[in-house]
Amino acid sequence: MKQSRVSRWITVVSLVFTLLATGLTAQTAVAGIIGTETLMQEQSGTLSRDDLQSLIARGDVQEKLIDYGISPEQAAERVAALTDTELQHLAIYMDDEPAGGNVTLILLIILLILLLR
Amino acid sequence: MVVAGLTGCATGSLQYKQLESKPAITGLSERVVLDEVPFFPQQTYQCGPATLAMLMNWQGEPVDPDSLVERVFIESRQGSLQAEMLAATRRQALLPYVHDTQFSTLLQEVNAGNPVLVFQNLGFGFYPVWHYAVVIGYDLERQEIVLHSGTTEQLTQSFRRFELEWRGGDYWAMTMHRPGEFPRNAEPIAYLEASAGLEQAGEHEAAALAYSAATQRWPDQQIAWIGLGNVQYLQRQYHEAEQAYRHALMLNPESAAAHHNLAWALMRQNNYAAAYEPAQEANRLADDQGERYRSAWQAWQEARP
Repeated sequence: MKQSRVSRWITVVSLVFTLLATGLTAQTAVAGIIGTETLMQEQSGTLSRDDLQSLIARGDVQEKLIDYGISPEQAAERVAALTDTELQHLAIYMDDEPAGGNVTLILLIILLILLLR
Repeated sequence: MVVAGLTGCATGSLQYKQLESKPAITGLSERVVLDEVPFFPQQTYQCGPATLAMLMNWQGEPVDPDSLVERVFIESRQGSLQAEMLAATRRQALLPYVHDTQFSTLLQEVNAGNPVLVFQNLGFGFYPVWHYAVVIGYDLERQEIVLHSGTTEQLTQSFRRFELEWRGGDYWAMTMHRPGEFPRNAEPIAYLEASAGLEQAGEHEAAALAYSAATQRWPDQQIAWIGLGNVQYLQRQYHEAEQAYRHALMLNPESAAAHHNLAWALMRQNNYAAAYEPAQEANRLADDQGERYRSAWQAWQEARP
């Protein structure tokens, strides 16, 4: 419980830092214009209800990366390059998403099995 | 037969069998091997970083696979997520393009000189072994595919074997392009989404190149013009942005986004007189197209009470 509260704080603090560092706030709030991704989501009917939702998704994915053992700094950089669509998908399905990266040993065994089919 | 059933590969027909009857396929060379595509043998589990590095180096970016580990690899998951493969491409200021699920598309891209990064399941439905590899060639007559895969450079596989594994990965395939260049089978919406991804990731210069090329290739695509305007705006080129938004408005005078962003570009140039009309139009269209398009009118009123 305590642990998760600490990691949540780390996430929030580093999220704020990333937003400031990458100028994301400038893109969403200060600059005024509506971003192209938002517009495309709007036209395809996949737009989330508000900007806050995508901010939360960003935080959730970042937190999950930290849970996976990625350092907070790296996690912040990594989520910054994801689109809102990707973030909203990952926020829900990240644990079920396949991650590519096989092992040679397993590969050998499987190759053997494959040869038999 | 039992084994085949267990793999989940027994249902549905495979696409490669229909390749010959496809008219789209007739323009292909019989045999292609892009043997200039660099090969990096993967370290344990790290086919994600290795395959990304192959495509990046092919695009002229001298990137070491090790430097990509901290961008896409998740140790505890022993692998890399597809979305992060795309994100890492953006961070290199390159455009990732995810293709449709057609075998013929894959071959066309390779034929056009684009190596294709594919996602495969080397295991079974109930025991998946996820893997990334790079398709660099094929031979239509021998029905073989050539891949940089794992620790093997130029691995040759039958179409059938390859497709079973690729189908296990839901036929996921991506190519990587310098912004402003196109895959062989570029679709406007997918290309613009990829460009918007660069914009979102803060790669404004790269996004500008991509949007700009898109406006030339698909001049009737309003999103391309708005996108171009947006990245110019983000680079504080407000006058250029204004021109792009005006072009977008010619294509669709009822676009709240084009009016709204045009008003902002004009206000940034301190041209409040010219901003009046588009700001009001955006506010009017906001009734139908969304509350977010009221901000320009609100800002105008605050600045010019």
